[in-house]
Amino acid sequence: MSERESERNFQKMLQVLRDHQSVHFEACVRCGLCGKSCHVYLSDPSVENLPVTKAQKVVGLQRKKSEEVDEKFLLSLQESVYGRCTGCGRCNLNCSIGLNIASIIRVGRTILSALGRTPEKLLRPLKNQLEYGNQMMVSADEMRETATWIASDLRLESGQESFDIPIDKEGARILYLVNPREIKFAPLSLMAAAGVFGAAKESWTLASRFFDVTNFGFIAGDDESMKQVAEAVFSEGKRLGVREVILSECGHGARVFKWDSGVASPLPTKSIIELLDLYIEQGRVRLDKKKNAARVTLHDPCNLVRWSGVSEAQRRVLREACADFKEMIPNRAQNYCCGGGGGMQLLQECSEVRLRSAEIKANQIRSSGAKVVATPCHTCIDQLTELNKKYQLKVEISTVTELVYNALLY
Amino acid sequence: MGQTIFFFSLAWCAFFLSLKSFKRRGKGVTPPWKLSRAEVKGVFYNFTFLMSPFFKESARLYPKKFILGLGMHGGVVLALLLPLLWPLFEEGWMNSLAAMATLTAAHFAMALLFFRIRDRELRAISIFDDYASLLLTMFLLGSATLHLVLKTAATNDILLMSASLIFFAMPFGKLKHALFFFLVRYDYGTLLGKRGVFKNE
Repeated sequence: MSERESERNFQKMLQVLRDHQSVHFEACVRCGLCGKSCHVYLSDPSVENLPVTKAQKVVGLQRKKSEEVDEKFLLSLQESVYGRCTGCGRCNLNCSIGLNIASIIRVGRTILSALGRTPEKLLRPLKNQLEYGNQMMVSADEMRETATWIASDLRLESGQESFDIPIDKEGARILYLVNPREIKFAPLSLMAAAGVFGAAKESWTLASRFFDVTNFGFIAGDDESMKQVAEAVFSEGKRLGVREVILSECGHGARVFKWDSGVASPLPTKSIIELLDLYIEQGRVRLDKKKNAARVTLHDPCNLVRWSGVSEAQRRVLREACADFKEMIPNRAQNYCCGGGGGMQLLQECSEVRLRSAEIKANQIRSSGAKVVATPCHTCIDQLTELNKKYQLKVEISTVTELVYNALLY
Repeated sequence: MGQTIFFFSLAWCAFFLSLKSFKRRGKGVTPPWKLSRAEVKGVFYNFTFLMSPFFKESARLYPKKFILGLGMHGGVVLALLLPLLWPLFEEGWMNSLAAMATLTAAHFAMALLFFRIRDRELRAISIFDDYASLLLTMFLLGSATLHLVLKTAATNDILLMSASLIFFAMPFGKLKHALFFFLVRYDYGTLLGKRGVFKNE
C-alpha cells in the first residue's frame, strides 16, 4: 500500500468513525468481563476473541496514526469483524458498563465497506440486490414458475382447491417477503406459509421483483445500500397497495425492516411469527398438536430475539402446534448464537470458527432431548443443518411455519 | 487554596464532559423528554434488573472481579463526596464506617490492579490509561482513608488534591465512564425498551 493510499484510507476511516461515534465509543473500561458471554471466545479463549479486543480495534482507531493503519492492520480488522464476530449482541447484555459492543464492531464493517474491503462473498449478494432486486438474481419469470408449481403441490397435498400463491396482486392486504433461497432451494417453507395463509383466508401476495427479505447492506455494514434495498421493498409494497408487510422467517431481515434500515417504514411491518401468533389467537387457523408429536426445541435467532424483541410469539405458536415443546437453556435474549450469523455462513474462510464456536449450541440442543429444532431464520437453519451433521445430533431442523403447516386442520 | 483547586477541577470536568456528550448527542441518544413509555421501561430495566447478577451473566461468571469492581466504585463515590459532605463524616460511627469503606475500596483497587497485571488476557487488552486510572483511584482512596482517620489540614489538602486530579483527568481518559456509564446504559435501555427486549431466561 503506497503512502498516499494509506493516508487516503486513514482519512476515510476517520470520516466513518466521526459519522458513527456514539456514546458507546467513550465508555469501555477494558474489564474483559464480556469474554465468557461470547460463543466465539468460549470455543477458543484467546485475547483476539474477546469482544473488547474486537471493539477496541475500531475504537482504538481514534488513537492511531495514519502510518499504523497499514495492510496488516486492515487484514486484522477484517478478520476481527467478519471472522470472529457474528454481531449476535450477547456481549451487550453482559457488558459491565452496558455498551452496545456489537454495534461498535459493526462500525468496523462500515469502515471496511468504505475502503472497498467487504468480502466478495457478501458483496456479490448485495450487488445482486441492488441490481436485480434480490440476492440470488431470481427473475420475475422464475418466481412465477416456481410459485405456480409450489401452489399446485400445495393444493394436491392439502386437498384445498382455493389455496394459491398470488404474485403482484394489487390491493392484497399483505405483501409477503421471502428469502430467495425459498424460491431456489427451500420451497417447502414457501409452501408452508402459503398453506397457512390459505387456511387463515388471508389476502396476500408475493412481489415478482422486490420480494427479498434479506439485506446484505446491513451485513456488509454498507448503510447507504441497506437503505436503498429497504426503500425498494417498501416502494413495492406501496405500489401494490398492500396494508402490511410480512417478513418470512429471517433474523436479520426482521431486524432491518422493523428497526435498523434507516428508512422510516411507510407500512406496518412484522415477522410471520407475529402473524401466526395472531392467527392462532383469533382462531383463524386450527391446529392439531398431535400431528407434531416429537419433542421440539426452539433456537432463538439473535437478530429476531435479542435485537428485535420477538421472543414470546414463537413460543406461544409452538406450544399450540407441537405436543412436546421444550426450551433450550439459556434461551430468549440470553440464547447463544448458532454461529452462522453476520454473514459468517457464507464465508468459506470462517467455516472452521463457525462450526467450532457452535459447539455450545450443539450441546444446548443435545441437552434439550429434542428430535426437532425449530428456528425462525433461514441462516440459522443452514447452520443448524451443518451442526446436525458435524455433531451428530440426529435431529430434524424446521422453520416454525413448517411446523404450523404440518399441524393445520382444514 | 485546596478548596479552590477542587472546585475548579469540578467545573473543568463538568465543562469538558458536557462538551464531549454534546458532541455525541446526535448519534442515537434520545432526550429524556422524547422517550416513549416503552423506552422509559427499557431504561429502568437496563439500570436495575439487567445490572443484577440474576440477569447479567458476567456478574456470575466473574464473581471476584464483579464484587471488587462494585466495592471499589462505591468507595470512589464516597471519597469524591467527602470534600463536599465533610461535616457528615467528621465524627462518630459515620466516620468509622466511611474510613472502613474507603480502606476496603483501596484494597479492592489494588486487587484489580493486581489482576490487570497478572491476568494474561487483561494485560493484553490494557493500555496506559487503565493503569494510570487505577493508580489515581488508589491515591484517592488512600488519601480519603488517611483524612478520615487523621483529620488534619494536611490530609485534607492531600484529599482535595487527589480528588482534583481525578476530576482533571476524567474527561480525557477511561475515567470518563463516570458519566458515560449512565449515558450508555440510558441509550441501550431505550433500544431494549423500544424493541421490547426484556425476557431473560
